[in-house]
Amino acid sequence: MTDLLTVENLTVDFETGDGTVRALDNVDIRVGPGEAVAIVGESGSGKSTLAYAILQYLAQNGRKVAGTVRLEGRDLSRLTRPELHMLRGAEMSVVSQDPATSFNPTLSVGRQVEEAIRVHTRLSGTALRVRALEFLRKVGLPDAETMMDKYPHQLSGGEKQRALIAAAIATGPKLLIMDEPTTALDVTTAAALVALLKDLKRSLGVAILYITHDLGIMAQIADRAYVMKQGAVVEEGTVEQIVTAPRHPYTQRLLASVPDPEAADGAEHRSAAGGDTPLLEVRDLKVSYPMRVKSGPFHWGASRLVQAVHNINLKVGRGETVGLIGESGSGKSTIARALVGLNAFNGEIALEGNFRHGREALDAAYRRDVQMIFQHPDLSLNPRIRIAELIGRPLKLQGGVSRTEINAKVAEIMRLVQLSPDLLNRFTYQLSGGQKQRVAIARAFITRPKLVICDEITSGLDVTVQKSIMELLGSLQSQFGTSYLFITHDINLIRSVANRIYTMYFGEIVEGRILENPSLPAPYHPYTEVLVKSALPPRRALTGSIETIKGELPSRLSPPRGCVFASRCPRRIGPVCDQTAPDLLPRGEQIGIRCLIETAELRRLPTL
Amino acid sequence: MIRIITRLWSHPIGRLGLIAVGFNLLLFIFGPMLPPYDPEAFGFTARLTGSSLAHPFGTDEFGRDVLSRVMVGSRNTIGFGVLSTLIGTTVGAAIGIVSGYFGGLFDEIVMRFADAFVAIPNLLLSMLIVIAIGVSTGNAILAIAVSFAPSIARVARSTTLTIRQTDYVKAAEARGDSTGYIVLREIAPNVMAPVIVEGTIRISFAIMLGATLSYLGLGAQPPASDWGLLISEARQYMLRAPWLVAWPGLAIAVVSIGFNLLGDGLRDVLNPRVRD
Repeated sequence: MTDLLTVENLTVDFETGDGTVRALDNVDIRVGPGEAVAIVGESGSGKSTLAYAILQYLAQNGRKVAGTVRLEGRDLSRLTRPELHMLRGAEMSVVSQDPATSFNPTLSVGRQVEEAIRVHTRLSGTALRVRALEFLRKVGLPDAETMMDKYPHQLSGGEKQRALIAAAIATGPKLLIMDEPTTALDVTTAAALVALLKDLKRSLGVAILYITHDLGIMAQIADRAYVMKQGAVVEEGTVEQIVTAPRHPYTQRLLASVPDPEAADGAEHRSAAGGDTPLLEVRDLKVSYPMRVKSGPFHWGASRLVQAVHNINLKVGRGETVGLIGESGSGKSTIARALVGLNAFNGEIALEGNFRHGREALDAAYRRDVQMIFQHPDLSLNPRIRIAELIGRPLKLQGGVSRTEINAKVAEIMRLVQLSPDLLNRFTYQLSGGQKQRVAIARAFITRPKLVICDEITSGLDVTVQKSIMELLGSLQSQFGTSYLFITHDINLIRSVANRIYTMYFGEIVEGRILENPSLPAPYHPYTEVLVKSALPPRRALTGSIETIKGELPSRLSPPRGCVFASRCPRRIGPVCDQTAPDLLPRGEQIGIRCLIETAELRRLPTL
Repeated sequence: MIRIITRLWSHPIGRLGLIAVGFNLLLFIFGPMLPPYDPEAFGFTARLTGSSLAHPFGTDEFGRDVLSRVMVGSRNTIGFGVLSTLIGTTVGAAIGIVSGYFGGLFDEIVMRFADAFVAIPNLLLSMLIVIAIGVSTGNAILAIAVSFAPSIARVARSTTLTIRQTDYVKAAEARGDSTGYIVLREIAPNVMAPVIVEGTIRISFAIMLGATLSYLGLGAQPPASDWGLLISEARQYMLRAPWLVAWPGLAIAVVSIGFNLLGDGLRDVLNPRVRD
């Protein structure tokens, strides 16, 4: 069998301000017809550069030093510019990471999909439209006709990515290059997209070169994979071999870093559950924000209050780790911001039994005891302030601490988070992503807070870095007895560390449970089940089938009358789900499940 | 600072700007100290002569050496542009940052005033101000500063609106930091880059505006050797002795273009997205 794509000892250099950097080093890969091949690696591994080198579309400062790229035997570097133009999109298509910037916001989606097809097929008029509609349906956009007339901003991220895929495959390419197509999407949306790609590969026989950092997705979608590190391929093999018997130490380390509830290797740091009085108690928390409603001839409209989260009751015990999980739009970050006084709220927040009503009641003592670490250290650390000041500021703010004392404490916390003291007078742009997050952690811990709120703090990091950050948080917790409220979309990560998990959907807590080990025995909420089955860790992804759900979040302006999850629920029992809003009721030893399904029935479900 | 200069040097436009502004700086420092002749000494034997070895830029109607007058005038002209821009930029940036950070009705009122000022052409506005408060060099500087402040304020405000939303400002608010610290330490340094770029480009406008005011008799007064004034005095002899207008005009052009190029270079160099 001849290969569709062969890349032979491809070497690419980049000219940067600080000299020449080798981005690809002697890379050999091949993709057979109809084969799905994954390129996996962490940031800086050169996996995206490889994709662009294959497309003959390197950045301005990139230079191919050696090697060949052949598509069906043709050396692509020998093609003329017009020939390449015809080849890209017709014989090999590309789908990039961010669907938000891949569309022109001023043209309808239909026009843009049609345009992509027209360039390569010479179809026009009705035939063109029919082809566009056919492929929009093929990628699972049910209402294709109305979709054609919509503008990009009217589509969700998942829908946009599907429309891009439709445009990419409608010209009948032999190879589809996908650069992290699911990274910007929610886990359930990503799972549905992966299922779609597997389907398309089977039905259209298109080969897929799938670039990803996510080993779970790799295991689901690919037949073979190449593992890259610092521009070089360190391991190649079938996906099964790579997941079950990795040979290269780097692959082994990568796999060991992926959170996997089943592979509990004893290295997890689940703290002992706290005592009777909770450290933090939240009662009937409600956050609403004004939303302008367009009405009247000039769209003057009045502002209407829309509820972001409501009926939130939760507890965090002393020294506990509590997970708050959900996808974007679930309201989990809204809760975090309310807890640190960035959002006005109704309801009560109690720290050590001291009840406080509303944002104004969160006084200096509360702010010292409750610290927050933000998602992106790039955004939460001021680029113009030196690290020493960044870390020391919360302590200085407390007052009554001398300069030498602050310096001593900053030095101490730097040591605890394993940052070199040489960095004290640096700015954060001189640091790596992991180091920056350590600075943010040091800043949160300098006042010895009782509770640290972690808002998706590892989601922008590579898995190996994520693992070291989690270990650091674990050791700080055992040293200081700090409680964590861990906000994340990654249920696998939180299962192995949390004492308590709250699952959120559309502004409500749909399930609360206490954990003693990573397994999630029944009863559980159908949404928790979907979350678990959408993001399988690599080993399970090899065999287990992914569960996908359709549809989108309900609208904030017309919230559902019944269960918030009814429109997408795979275990929906009938029209009653749309009419009756369930309460968060305790089922057995659980804190509560908000579902209309009988407890006895939920109990019969298998352990997750 | 040194890093920024090295980066500017490796930027094609920035390098030109650096060379031109460096030349301006030399003129500013040494120009008035090294004129070959006394700029105000009359020479009745050599009136309105063209370029010669003795007078490379020629002489004016009183036989004064034009090269000496241009050299001496450099300090006034460049100093005028830099000083008025500095005042206008500082005041404008302060207004813009405060207005942007507090927002609400205060912001609304301040910005509508700024809009009203921006609607009047800079030259007209500064002329009106000078006429209202009296003709002098100091007042001309003030007038140009006032006419610049509103547009600088708008630049500073729009950047502040972005910075205000960042997590580091949110983090400062969450830990209960004071408004003063947030505005001065967290926001201001991040707003400075676009403001400095805007300010640098405006120096060239200020120099041209200042020259225009002097030309119109609203800035420097005779017998001072300001470049605008030199052109103004020379205009009746323009047809007989065009060099009288050309040399100071060329000097204004070189200085203006220099600051303009430097501003363009800074725009790229200070942009964090272009960094690395």
